Amino acid sequence: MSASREQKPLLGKLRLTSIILVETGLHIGGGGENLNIGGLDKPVIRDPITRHPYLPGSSIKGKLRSILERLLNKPLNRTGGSGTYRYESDDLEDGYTEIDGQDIPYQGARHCQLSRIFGSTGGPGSGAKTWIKTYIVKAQCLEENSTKPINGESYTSTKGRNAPARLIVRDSHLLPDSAKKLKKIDTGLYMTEWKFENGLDRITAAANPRQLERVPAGSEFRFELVYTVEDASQAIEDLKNLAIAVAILEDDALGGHGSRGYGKVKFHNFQFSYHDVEQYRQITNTGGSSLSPISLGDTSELLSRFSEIQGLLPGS
Amino acid sequence: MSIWKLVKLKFGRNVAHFGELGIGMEETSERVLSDTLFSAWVSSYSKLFGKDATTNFLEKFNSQPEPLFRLSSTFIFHSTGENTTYYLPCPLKFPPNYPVGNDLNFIKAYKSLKYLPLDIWQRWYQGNGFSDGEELEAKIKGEAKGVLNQKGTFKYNEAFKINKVPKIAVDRVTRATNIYSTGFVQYQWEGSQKESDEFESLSGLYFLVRFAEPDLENIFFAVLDFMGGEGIGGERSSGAGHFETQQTELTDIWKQVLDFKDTNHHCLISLFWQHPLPKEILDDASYELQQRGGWLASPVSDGRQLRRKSVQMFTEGSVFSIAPQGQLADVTPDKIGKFLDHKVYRSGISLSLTIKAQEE
Repeated sequence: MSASREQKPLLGKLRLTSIILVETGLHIGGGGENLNIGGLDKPVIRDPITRHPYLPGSSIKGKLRSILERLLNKPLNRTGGSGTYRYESDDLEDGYTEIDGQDIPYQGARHCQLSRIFGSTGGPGSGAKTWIKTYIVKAQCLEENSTKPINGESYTSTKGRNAPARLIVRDSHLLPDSAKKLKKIDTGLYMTEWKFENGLDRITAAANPRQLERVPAGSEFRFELVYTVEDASQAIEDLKNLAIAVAILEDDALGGHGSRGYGKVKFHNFQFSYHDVEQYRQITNTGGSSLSPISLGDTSELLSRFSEIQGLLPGS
Repeated sequence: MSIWKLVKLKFGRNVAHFGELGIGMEETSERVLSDTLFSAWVSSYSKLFGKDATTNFLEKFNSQPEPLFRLSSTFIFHSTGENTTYYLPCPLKFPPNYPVGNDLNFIKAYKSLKYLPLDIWQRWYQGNGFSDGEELEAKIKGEAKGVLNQKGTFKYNEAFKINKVPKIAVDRVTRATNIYSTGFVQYQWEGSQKESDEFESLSGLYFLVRFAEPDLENIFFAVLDFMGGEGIGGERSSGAGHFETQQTELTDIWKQVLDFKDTNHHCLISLFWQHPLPKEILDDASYELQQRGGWLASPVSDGRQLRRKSVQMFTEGSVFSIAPQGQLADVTPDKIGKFLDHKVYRSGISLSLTIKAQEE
C-alpha cells in the first residue's frame, strides 16, 4: 500500500484553558424566534435551557481561522454560499481550484498550516473543480475526470479528500460569578444589555433607531481548546500560529459590529496541560498527567514564554 | 457468564449534534443508535491502538460465536432529586391485559408513547401487564395524575431540548455573510452544589453493554474515556458531543429486568441486522425497519469522501419470538480500487431484553 494509506498518528492532546474577559459589549446573534413590535431587532445567542448568553465554539474557531487565513495570506478558493469566499484545502495534496474561471493554487492539507489545524472538506466546492498533478492522482488511485495542462504540467480533475480538524474549540460559558452578577442587572432583558443605536438623515436629522442586545462588558467566560498532536514536527508551528491568532483576536473583535467597538475580548489565566497517548491507553490503571500544567497570565506572557509550552510536546 | 454494565454518558453543559435526514445540518436526534456508538468506539480504539490491532479486534467479532461485547443503543436518563428515570423503547407488541379492539378512548395517548420509564416498562412487559387505560384517557384531556404521570411517562421530552443555532459563513474580503442553521441537543444540567465551576448532568444518555468475558472491561472503558474527550456525533471541532463516562451499578430493578425468565418474546434495545435472517425469526414478530447509511470516516483512511453501503436494520422496540443475535454488516464501498485501506463495518449485533407480550 502507498504511504498515504497509513494511520493518522495520535501522539497526544494539548489542552488550553483560559478565561475570556469581555471588555466591551459583545453581540453574537442568535436569530429571533418571533418578531414583537417594539421588541429587540437582534437578540444574542443563548443556552436553550438556562437562557444564559454564551460564546459558541464555532464563533471563536471561525474567527481564529479567518484571522489565520489573513495572517498566512491564503487565497480564496472556496465558496460558502451567497457569494462568500474563504480558503480551504481541496485535498491532502497541493493543486489548483478552478473557480469562476480562474485557477487558484491551494496547499495540500497534509502540510497546509491552516487546514491541518482547522480541518478541510475535500473539494471541489459547488461550481468548482479540483486539479491535482496527474501522476499524484494516478499514484494514489484518486478519481480521474479530465486532464489539462497548468504551467506546463499535466493536471487531472478529481474529487478531494477531507482532513479532519486537529483543533477543538469548546463552547465558552459564563463563569458562575459573572452569571450571578448579570442576573442582578436591571435592563429589562435577562442578563444582557439593550443598546439603542440610531441612523440619522444627514439633512433632516430624521432618526431611524434600532435596538441590539449585547453581553455586557466585564462578563467572563471559560474558554477551552484541545489540540491533537499528530505530527511532532508541526505541533510547535501550529501552536505558535494559534497563539498569534489569539493575540490578534484581542486586537480584533468577537461577534458582530466590531468596527463600532463591540466585542473586545481579553484572554487571561492560560493553563496548558499535555496528555500523552500512553496515558490514555492506561487511564483506568493510572490516570492523571505526568507533566504538571503550565500557567501563564495573559497573552503577552503567552507569546514571550512560548518556549515553555514547547517543552510539553513530544520531539522537543 | 456474561457481565452487564450500565454506562451513563454525561454531556454536562456541552451540546451534541446527531445528524438526521433534513435540510443541511438542521435536524438532530436526541440519542445515538447502537451502530453509531459501536463505530465511534471502534474509531477511538483505532486511534489509540492502531490499524492492525483494530483489524484483529474486529476479526474476533466475525469469527467467534459470541461477540466480545454487545451494545445497546443509547437512551435517555433523567434525574430528578434522588430518582433517576431510565427510558426504554416501548415494545411494538401490546403488553398483556391490553384491551385490544376496545381501546378507542385512549389509543391516541398510547400510540404517542415511544419510550417508557423503566418502572412502567417492567410492569407492563414483565409484571402484571397493562392496567392504565383510565389514566391514558385522562391524559388526552390533559389531567393525568396517576402512577404513569408520577413515573415520568409523559415527560420524555423534558429531559432535553433541541434547538436550531443560526450560524454564518463570512466572506474573507467583503464580510458578506451566508446564514445557515445547525440543530443541537442540550441535556438538562445544574451547577454543582460543592464547587462553583463544576456541572452536574441531570439528564443525558445511557446504554447497556454485555461483555462476553470480563477481561475486556478495562480496555472498553479506557477507550470510552478517550472517546468522551474526542466527542461523539457532529460539530465536534466546535465543541459539540463531548461527554464524561460514568459506570453505575445495576440497581435491583435493572437486575430483575435483565434476569426476567417467564418470557415469550424478546424486545430489541439496539439495532439488529443479520444475513441471512434466521428462518423463524419473522414468525410472530412485530418490527420496524430503518435505513442506516452515511459517509465513511476513519482515522486510518486518508479522508476520501465515500458513502458506506446502506443497510436496513430492525429498530429498537422490535419484538421477536426468538432472541435476535445479529452480526457486523460489511458496508465497505463497492468502488473497485477506491477504498482498499480496510473493511468497513456497521454493527448489527443486537442486544435484547426478555419480555412477556400479549399473544395474538
